Amino acid sequence: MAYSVNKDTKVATYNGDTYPPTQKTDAKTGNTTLVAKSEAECVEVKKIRDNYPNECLNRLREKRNSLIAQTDWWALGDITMTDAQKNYRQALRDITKTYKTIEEADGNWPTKPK
Amino acid sequence: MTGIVKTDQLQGAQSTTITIPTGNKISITDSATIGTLNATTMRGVTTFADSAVFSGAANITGLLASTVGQNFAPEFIGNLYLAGNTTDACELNGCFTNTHQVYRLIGEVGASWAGESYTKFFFLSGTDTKLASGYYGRGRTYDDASASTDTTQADGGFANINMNQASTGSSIVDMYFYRKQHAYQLLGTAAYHDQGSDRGYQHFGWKNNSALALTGFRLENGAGNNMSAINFSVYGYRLRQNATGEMLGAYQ
Repeated sequence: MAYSVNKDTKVATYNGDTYPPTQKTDAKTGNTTLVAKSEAECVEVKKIRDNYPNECLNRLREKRNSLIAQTDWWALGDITMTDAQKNYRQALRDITKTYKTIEEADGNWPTKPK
Repeated sequence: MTGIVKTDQLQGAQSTTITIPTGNKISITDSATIGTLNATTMRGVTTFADSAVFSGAANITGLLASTVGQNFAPEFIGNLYLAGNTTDACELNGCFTNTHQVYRLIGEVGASWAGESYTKFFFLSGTDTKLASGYYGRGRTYDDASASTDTTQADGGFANINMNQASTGSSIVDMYFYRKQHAYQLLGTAAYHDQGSDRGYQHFGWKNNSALALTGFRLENGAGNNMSAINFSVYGYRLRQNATGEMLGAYQ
């Protein structure tokens, strides 16, 4: 894998992708320096970047699950769920088929029936 | 022998200094006033019985002590500032020492994300080595959409200090670092505005049992993208006067 560092900007390039330097600040003097990422650090950041879409999807699921949980009482034995209520819960379950992040889903959540 | 010398001016005969010999003192009677006291050093215990006004800068190098001798003022340690999208990680080095037992870390933390994400907090040890394991704890969000979520770590790689942060804004974070031997603990709060238009706050408590002496901290964008608008200051508190080490006590 190709790894290089721009001596002026301290930006590292690893396998075609760029990785910005780390800013270090000395608490006593306030002086800042830019330190280029090592090859191992670039590998670590690449893993984070690659996994980010999964994280976004998981966060969307967490929010979706929270909204479904708020209507769990509709499914209690002594209550009959209306079609609108059933459709709302199904639409929540299906939202990850259309959207992959909370940002995308924002403004497109199904309307909760009364 | 007593007497009254009436003069408008005193002047040295051999030099420009007029000396009051040891054992003698000048007594200025009550209610007499001094127009301008051009003193550079005042020694001995000085009592300002009435109000003291400092119209210029007051540089205090000693402790601000209470009547029981304890320091009650936090001391500014350092500031971590990042103006724009130039890096995905930043550190404040050398901010934790044996002088203080409790630190307050306050400021704003922003980042650039495609969707909502979070900021990873790491301790630094020794010569600024990232401590990337041994984090335990939990954070919980509360927001106006009631879609509360949790973040947990059990021997995790970092501490999460602002969940659900939108890409377009920054969180305000206020947390305390208790420097307890082998039981380093963070306790804090963050206010956020997530990507789904939810606004709220997060409580969190994190712990790391590292045997290493911690010297600083590092912030990273949880998504691997650049950070923005980091303005984080650290203040130190002495839990005991003249303490020279970490807080002691059982850690489990």
